[in-house]
Amino acid sequence: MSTILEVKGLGVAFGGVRAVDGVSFDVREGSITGLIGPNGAGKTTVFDIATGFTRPQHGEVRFRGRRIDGLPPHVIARRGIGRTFQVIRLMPRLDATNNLLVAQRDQVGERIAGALFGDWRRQEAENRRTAQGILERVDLTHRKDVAAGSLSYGQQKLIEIGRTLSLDVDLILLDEPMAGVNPAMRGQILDLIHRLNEEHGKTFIIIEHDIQMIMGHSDDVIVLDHGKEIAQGPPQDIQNDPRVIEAYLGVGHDEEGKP
Amino acid sequence: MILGLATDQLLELLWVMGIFSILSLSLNLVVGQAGLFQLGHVGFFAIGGIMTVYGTHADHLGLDLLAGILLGMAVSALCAVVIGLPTLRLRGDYFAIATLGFAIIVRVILEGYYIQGVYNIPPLNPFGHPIPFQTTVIGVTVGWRVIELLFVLGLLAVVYLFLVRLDRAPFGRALRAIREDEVAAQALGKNVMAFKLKAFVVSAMLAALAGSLYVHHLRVFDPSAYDFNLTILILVMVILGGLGSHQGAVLGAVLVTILNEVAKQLSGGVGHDIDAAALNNLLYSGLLVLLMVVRPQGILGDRDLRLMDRLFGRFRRRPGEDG
Ligand SMILES: Nc1ncnc2c1ncn2[C@@H]1O[C@H](COP(=O)(O)OP(=O)(O)OP(=O)(O)O)[C@@H](O)[C@H]1O
Ligand SMILES: [Mg+2]
Repeated sequence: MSTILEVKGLGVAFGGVRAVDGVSFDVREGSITGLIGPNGAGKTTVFDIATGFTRPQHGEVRFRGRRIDGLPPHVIARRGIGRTFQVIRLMPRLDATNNLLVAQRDQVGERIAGALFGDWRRQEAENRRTAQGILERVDLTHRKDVAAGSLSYGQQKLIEIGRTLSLDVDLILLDEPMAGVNPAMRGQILDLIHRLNEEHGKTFIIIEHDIQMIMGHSDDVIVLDHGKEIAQGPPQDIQNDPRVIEAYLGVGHDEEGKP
Repeated sequence: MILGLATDQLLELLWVMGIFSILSLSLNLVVGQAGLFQLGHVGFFAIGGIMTVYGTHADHLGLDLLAGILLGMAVSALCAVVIGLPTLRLRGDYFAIATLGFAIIVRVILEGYYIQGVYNIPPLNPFGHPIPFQTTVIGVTVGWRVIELLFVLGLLAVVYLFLVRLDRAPFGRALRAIREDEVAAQALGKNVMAFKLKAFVVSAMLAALAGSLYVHHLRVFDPSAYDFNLTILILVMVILGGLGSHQGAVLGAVLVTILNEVAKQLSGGVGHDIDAAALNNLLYSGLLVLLMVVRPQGILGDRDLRLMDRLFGRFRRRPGEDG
């Protein structure tokens, strides 16, 4: 399998804090890759760099071989990297359908001339059908007209994932998609990820604190600690890696990072 | 006392409502729909005024009315690009301060050059040839004030339909999405900067249009009219009617105009004991406080009543509208 995302010597510091400190890893196309590490390890910061929200001070990020570090977020999104956020970011006053519609690419009606004189309604009708399809896939058809802000927490997480489908990207970065979600909904989200991975060839990088879940569902695992990547490889190797065990035990048994 | 108004006064009142409506509609695009706090709208209103004076006045270029109006809109657009490009990428408060500063600079410059005012500005005459004091249209004799009013109201209708069309298209949805969550919009591939700049430039051009109409009607240009109070007044109209609602913007303009007139009549009535401007400010402040308590989203909230759709039985939802 080819490499879809390549991270080399990535580093960024906020004030004195080296949030990410020389991180390198490869993500294989078509894989589900877990990104784990204790709180403050730098996981979200890696996502922020890969999606253009944070500019790295060192290193580079390549997507399908092309450098993307330093590009603005909307350009990276259009190249084919989508993401969700640790704290959900939906357009709360738009309904579920329009949260998906807004993510569609190349909309004629988004240009002023197109909005005034263009035949955007035809494209909109087609986009609506696509959105219906996505709503069916995430099992939210019955909530299609509900303002996103009024959806349940789990449903909001599903819409957030659905938006990356609407954007039609190949690589999807999920920042703690299962956190704070009830077990039934967790199952639904996991199912969705596997189906998208197997049937549509989407590549996933998933940040999660639930080690069991990551070990059980990813093809590769990357472990960060204090801004450095301390291990990467298939789950069974990672589970027995003494550095990983130490990183997790080192933060104490009461921490969220405990398996 | 309103009933006692002469026809001329009534025409004048309607005319002011028309100009204010264009102003508040244009500000609503930036503040209501794109969610950008703009404190310098009056600057573009003034630029529209002075550029059309420069373009059409016999002492300057002496072009015709349309050319003057377009000149004002073009210069306004240019200023919006120059202010918007560096400040729109920064946090919202930088943009607010930059636009505020811009309006102050415009006023200071205008007062420097035209402190005496400019007179003999060509009239708001869409026909190009000299207008008779009154004319007969299909057997009815009307003063040209009426024709002028119809011209302004016609332009208001065009501006209204233009903005509603933009809003109901995906362009409007993208603006609302950006207002709701800029970071998410970027992650979805939206060029947030470009959308904001477009909204800002279009809004500035429409303010300039209103500015041109204004000076051609008054036929006098007085730089002191373009002060910060006017910016606040336009903001009040937009907030009163409901941020994001076009009908609300027009309603706000109408209400504020009526309020102004009431204040004028009241202060006149009590024998000039009360300053009209002070009374105005008092009325607005009171009204705004009342509004924030009773209905913080403004009279119409952030949407338009779909009267036409209801009348004709169609039921089309605007992209981005929930429920
Ligand atoms: N914008 C920022 N400004 C300053 N410090 C930051 C910023 N973003 C992250 N940090 C710091 O960088 C470090 C890494 O943060 P990051 O959010 O990437 O961790 P994380 O692995 O996602 O943690 P968690 O599991 O708690 O989400 C932390 O010490 C954090 O406080
Ligand atoms: Mg995080």
